[in-house]
Amino acid sequence: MMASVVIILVFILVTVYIMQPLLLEEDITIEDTQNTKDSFLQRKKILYRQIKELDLDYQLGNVLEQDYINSRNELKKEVSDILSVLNKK
Amino acid sequence: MIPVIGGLALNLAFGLSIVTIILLSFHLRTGDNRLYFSGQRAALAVSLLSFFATFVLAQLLMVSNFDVDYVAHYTSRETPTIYKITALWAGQSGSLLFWLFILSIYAVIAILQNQRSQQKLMPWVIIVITTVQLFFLILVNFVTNPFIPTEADFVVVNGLGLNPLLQNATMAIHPPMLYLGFVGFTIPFAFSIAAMAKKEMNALWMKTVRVWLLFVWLMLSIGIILGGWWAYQELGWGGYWAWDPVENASFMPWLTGTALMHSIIIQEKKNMLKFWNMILIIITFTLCIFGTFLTRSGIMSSVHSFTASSLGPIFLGFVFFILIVSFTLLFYRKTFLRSEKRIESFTSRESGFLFNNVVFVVMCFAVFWGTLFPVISEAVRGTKITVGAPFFNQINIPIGLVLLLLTGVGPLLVWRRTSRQSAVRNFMIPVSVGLMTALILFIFNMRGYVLISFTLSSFVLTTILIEFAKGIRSRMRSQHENVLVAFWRLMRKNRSRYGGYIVHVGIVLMFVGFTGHAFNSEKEFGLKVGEKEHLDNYQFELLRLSEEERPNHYAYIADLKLKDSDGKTITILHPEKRIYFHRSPDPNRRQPHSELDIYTLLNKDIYSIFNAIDTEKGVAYFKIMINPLVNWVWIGGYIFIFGTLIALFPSKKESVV
Repeated sequence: MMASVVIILVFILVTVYIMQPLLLEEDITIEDTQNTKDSFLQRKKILYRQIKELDLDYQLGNVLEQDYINSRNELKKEVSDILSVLNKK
Repeated sequence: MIPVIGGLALNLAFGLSIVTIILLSFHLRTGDNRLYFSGQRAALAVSLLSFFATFVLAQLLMVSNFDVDYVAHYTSRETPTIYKITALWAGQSGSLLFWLFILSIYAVIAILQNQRSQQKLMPWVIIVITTVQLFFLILVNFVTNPFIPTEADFVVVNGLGLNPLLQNATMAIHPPMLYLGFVGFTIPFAFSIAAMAKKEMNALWMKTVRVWLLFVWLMLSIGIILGGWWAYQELGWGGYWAWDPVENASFMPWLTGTALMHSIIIQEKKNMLKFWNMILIIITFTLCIFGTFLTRSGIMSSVHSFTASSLGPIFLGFVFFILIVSFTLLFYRKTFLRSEKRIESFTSRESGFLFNNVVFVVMCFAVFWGTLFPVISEAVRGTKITVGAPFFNQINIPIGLVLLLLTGVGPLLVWRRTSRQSAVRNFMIPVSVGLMTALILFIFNMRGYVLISFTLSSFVLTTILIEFAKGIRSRMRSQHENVLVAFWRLMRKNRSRYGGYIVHVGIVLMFVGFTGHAFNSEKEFGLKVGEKEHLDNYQFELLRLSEEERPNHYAYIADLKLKDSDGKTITILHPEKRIYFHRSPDPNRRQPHSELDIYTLLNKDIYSIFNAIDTEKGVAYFKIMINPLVNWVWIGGYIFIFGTLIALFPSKKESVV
């Protein structure tokens, strides 16, 4: 008897919890997190880390000079693109 | 009542996992976000119900509720409390529930952690994770339910008890670690499937997958090392790795996972090998499921036991399902995964990484083939041809040495291409040290694999030391820091790279330990009290034989005095011969077990096993082994774990990311 009550109660609670968003009349808008300020800041940090690693690789002699210059310029361009987006936001 | 609730929680979780998949599939079709939020909640509910069911079983084990068949099978009233908990994963149905439990923990973390940052991918991620949960829910609900009541028409007053070999502290940690590794690969796999489905693979995705991979790979590595430690400490044969199918089941995903840990660096730095990395993620995850299938289906004991149980075919079906779905998706996304850049030179660091990957995969295939060969031979020819440790050693020792060589060569190569000048500059010192080592070892009469292994070890250690020295020197020059500050900051600011090098140091030390096996010596003998025996430069004297009844076993204890060549007493060893379930009226239930004692030195172990006792003659039979360098396997293991932890933990600045 007790088991049945517990099970029914759990079942009702779980059903209500899951169904609640479906009972809303209007659809829920999801913020586009790919284009938020936070997201750009995160990408900027990842790029900074990649530049630092590239610098270290160059200092250790693990990258050819021309390759280093090209890769660094590519990463810097990506960073400056992100910074210009961030400045607009 | 409580077992019923546990079973019903699993029923409900099973139903909700189907609901989750349906809701999220409709969300993907219609774009209605209400369906997504509802599906996400359903997924969380599946996990919470799985937690609940696991806690119920744990509670039943703790209170020795022998009305439940699983509890009666794997515990008894005498089982110590800690082993009542570990009995949760001692049997088939419990271990499958435990798989589900860990996957549910990971699922909750993955959902809550990424619900904002990886919004586009999350519906797919949740679908994949829930599909894997659904598979395990099918097993624990309909194939091997842990809550099935005991089939007896009388009150069961005591259970059968836990296998004595599992009543060991390491065994309390080893399986959860392995499971954390095995199960954890589900998450990077889910993110990879999601990335392919949505054609979305940005820097954040890479970071998420890399961190998960590193964590689960660490757990799997710890699990494997602990398994070796347990075998060495508990099984009494003096070794730590027997190429047993269960060991191989954990080693195969570790090999492909390790390959992946390396090749993902290329994807991160050079945006290359995306397609290959996807293949590795799929294979690694499939091998995790396949490993569980190998250990749980009974296929390794016989093909017939595989077909007799429904668990084997279901597992195999799921393995094929994963492979077909994943590779079909991979095929359709091959253009998306095509790298813009190509490897330009054979002597580049990129090709070093790729070559390392190929060797890891070849090794994995060799282990896979050797593990399955008995099954294939039985299925095809009707006769089971067992492939033992000699086969695995013959194949894998040379492959392992090639990997060791690549560990040293990799850091010496330059990205894109290594010029002749750079090659001479970078290889000069490590190769010279390696050759010097080889010459000295040759003079000391070492040959073959021993000579190659020690030579390569010295070569790799020199390479790593030079890498640290170069980094420190560079900081001292550019930042004007002293040696210690430069070392500390170099480590702190480049944890991933230098943590990786520390892992390599651990691997080299483990190889040194493995190589020590070539110098092992052993002797078996019987002794009466007061008698002596010798092995190498050591003397063993049986001082005393005593007996003791303990709560869950009866023990014969030997006091074995160990003396060195000068006659100086080093220690007294206390190996034991135990009889578990000694009070059982059924003599077949009584289980003898040798509890060994080891005297550990930095350069060797003196390993004593109490094999048997003749109580009438008063003779105790021992096996003594002297295992040189074996401790370097464990020291290497600690360093390996330490290095991975360094690589895993981000710096303060990065943790904000």
